[in-house]
Amino acid sequence: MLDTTETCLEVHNLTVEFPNRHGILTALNDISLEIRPGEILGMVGESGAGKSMTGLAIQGLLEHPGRIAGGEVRLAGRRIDALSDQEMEKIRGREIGAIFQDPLTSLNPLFTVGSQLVETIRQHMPDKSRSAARERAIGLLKEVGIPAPAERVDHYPHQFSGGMRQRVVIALALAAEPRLIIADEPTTALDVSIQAQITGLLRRLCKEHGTAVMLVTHDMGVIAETADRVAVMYAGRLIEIGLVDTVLKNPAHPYTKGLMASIPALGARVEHLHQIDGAMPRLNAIPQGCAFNPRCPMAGPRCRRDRPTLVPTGTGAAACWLHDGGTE
Amino acid sequence: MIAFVLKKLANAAFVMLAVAFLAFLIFRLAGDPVDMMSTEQTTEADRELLREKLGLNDSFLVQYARFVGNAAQGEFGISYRNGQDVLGLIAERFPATMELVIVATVLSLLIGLPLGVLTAIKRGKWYSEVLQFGSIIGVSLPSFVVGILLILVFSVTLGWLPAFGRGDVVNLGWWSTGLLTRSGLMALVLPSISLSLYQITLIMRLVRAEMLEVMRSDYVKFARARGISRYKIYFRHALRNCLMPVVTLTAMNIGTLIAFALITETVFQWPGMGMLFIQAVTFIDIPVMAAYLCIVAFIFVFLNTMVDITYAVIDPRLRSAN
Repeated sequence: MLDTTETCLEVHNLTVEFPNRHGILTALNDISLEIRPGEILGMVGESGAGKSMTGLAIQGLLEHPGRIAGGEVRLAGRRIDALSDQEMEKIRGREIGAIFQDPLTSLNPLFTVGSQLVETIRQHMPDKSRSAARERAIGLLKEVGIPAPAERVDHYPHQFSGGMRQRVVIALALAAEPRLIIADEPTTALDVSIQAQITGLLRRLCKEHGTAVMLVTHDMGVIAETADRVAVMYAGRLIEIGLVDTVLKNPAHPYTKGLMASIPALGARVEHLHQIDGAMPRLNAIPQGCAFNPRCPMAGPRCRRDRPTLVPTGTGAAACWLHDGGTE
Repeated sequence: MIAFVLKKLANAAFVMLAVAFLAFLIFRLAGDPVDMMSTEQTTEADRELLREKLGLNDSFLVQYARFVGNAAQGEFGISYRNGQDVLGLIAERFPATMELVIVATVLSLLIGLPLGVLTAIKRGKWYSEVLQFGSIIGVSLPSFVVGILLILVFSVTLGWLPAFGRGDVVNLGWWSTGLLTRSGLMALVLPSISLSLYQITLIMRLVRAEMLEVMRSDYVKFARARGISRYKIYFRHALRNCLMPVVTLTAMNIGTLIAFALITETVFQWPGMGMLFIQAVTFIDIPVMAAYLCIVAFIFVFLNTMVDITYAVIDPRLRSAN
C-alpha cells in the first residue's frame, strides 16, 4: 500500500508578495502544509483568500510582479521554489500535473486532443516515439473514461462536451505520471451531475496511481466527497487544517464554523440562509490581530491585538486564540 | 468542407456579377461611345450602322448579359487610346505588378511575423521598445517618401541599385518575369522594400497585439502548466491562434497593393498595371478602366474566398458550413 511516512509535497512558511506603486501586498502569508502520496488535500476559502495562489506559487506560475518572498517548497524532498524557469518547465507536467477550472478554455481549440496529449507526453518522455506516445494517449483517454478512445483521440476539443473535456484535461494532467496534481476548481464550471463523476474519477486515479492531489475549491460538498484532509484559508493565511471528517463535523476556528453553517442542508427549508456578516478584508486593509476579528462572534481584546498562529487541536491545527490561551 | 467551399464560391460569383454591373454602368454613364468613335465626317447612316454593330440598340439587360459573357472570356474590347486589345494590354503589365506585390507581401510576412512575436514575448526589453517606436514611423511615412529616400540613398548616393525600371525580363509564355535575371532582381529590391515597409509595421503591430492577447488565454496558461517548452508555446500554440487576423490583413493588403501600387510604380517608373491605369484615367480610356475594375475586383474576391477557406484550414471549428 501507500507509504505514508514520506511526504510528496512540503510547503514551509511560504510567503508571496506583489510589489506595486503603493507598497507591497502580501498575498500569501506564512503558509505551511504537506501532502502525502495518494492523499487529497482540499483547499477551501472565499474568493481571494489565496487558495489558487498557493497552487500557482508551487507550480512557479505566479504572474508578474508576484514573487515568492519567503519560505520553501519541497517536492519529494527536492527544493523547487528557487528554480529557474527552464528548470521549472521540466517539473511542470512531469512532476506536477495541473487541472484548470474551465475545460472549455483550457484546451487549445486548433489542435486535436490527441496532438495535445502526444505533445505533453513527448515533452516529458522524449525517448517515446510518436506512435508509442499516441498509444499512451489512447490509453490515457480510456483510463479517464472516454468512450471509443481510439477514434476520439483525433477529435478537436469543440467536439467534446464539457464533462468529457474535463476528462481530457485530467488525462493531460496524468500524461507524464506526475507525483502531484494541482486541481484548481476542477468541477466549478460543470453541471452538478457531471461534478460527481469528475471528482469520483479524480479520487480513483489518485488512489490507483498514488498521486498526491491539491484540490482547490470553494465547494464544501466536493471537499466532503473527495478530500482526505482539508485546509481552510482566509485573507492569505492558513487558519485551520485537519482531517475532513473532523473539520467538517467539528470545526475549531469560528470562520470554519461559519462556513459550515452556511451550507444549506438539503430538504430543510429555512427562512434565512446563514451567512457570515461582512466581507473578507482586502489585502491592503488587513486589520491588526486576527484577520477575521471584525466578523468573528467570539472575538475578544486579544484577537484585535495579536495575530494567532496555528496550534494543534486534536487531529489538526487552527490559528485561533480560543485554542491558544483564550481571547482576553 | 466541400459544402463550405461551394457556398463561398457562390458568394464570390454573386459579388463578381455586382462588380461587372458597376463596370458596365461606367460605359453607360460615360456618354455615347459612338460619339467618341465617330468624326465630323461620319454620316447618320454610318452612325446607325455602328450602333447596330456594337449592339447598342439592344435592351439594357441584353447588353449587360453580353458584357458579362465577354468579360468572363477575358474580352473587354479595344482600348480607346491606342486601339490595342485591352486584355493584351493588361496581360503585358500584370506580371510586373504581381511580382512586385508578391515579393513585397512575402517580405512583410517574413519580417513582420517574427518581429511581432519578438516584441510581444520580449515586452519591456529596450529593443522591443525601439521596434515599437520605429514601427510608428513606418506606419506614418507615406510610401512615395520612403521610395524617394531609398532612391536617394541607394541609387543616387551609393549607386548600388537601379532607381527605375524593371531590368531585364525573361518571358515564360505570356508571363514576363524579372525574377530570373540579376538586373531584374536588383531592380525589384527598392520598390518592394518601399511597398512592404508599411505592411511590415502593420503586421508586426497586429501580431504583437494578438500575441499579447493569446498569451493571457487559459490554454496558454494550461500549456505552461503542462510543462510545454516556451518556444513551442510561442510558435505552436500562440502564433497559430494569432494567424486569422494576419491572414485577413495580408489578403486584403495584396488586393490593396495591386490596386494602389500605382504610387510606388510611378516613383520607380515600374511598368505595371498602376501606370497603365493612370494613363487610362488621363485619356478617359473607358474599356481599360472597366477591365481594370473587373480584374482588381476579381483579385479581391478571389483572395477573400481563399481567406475564408484558409480560416477553415486553420480553425477546425469553422469547417462545418452553416
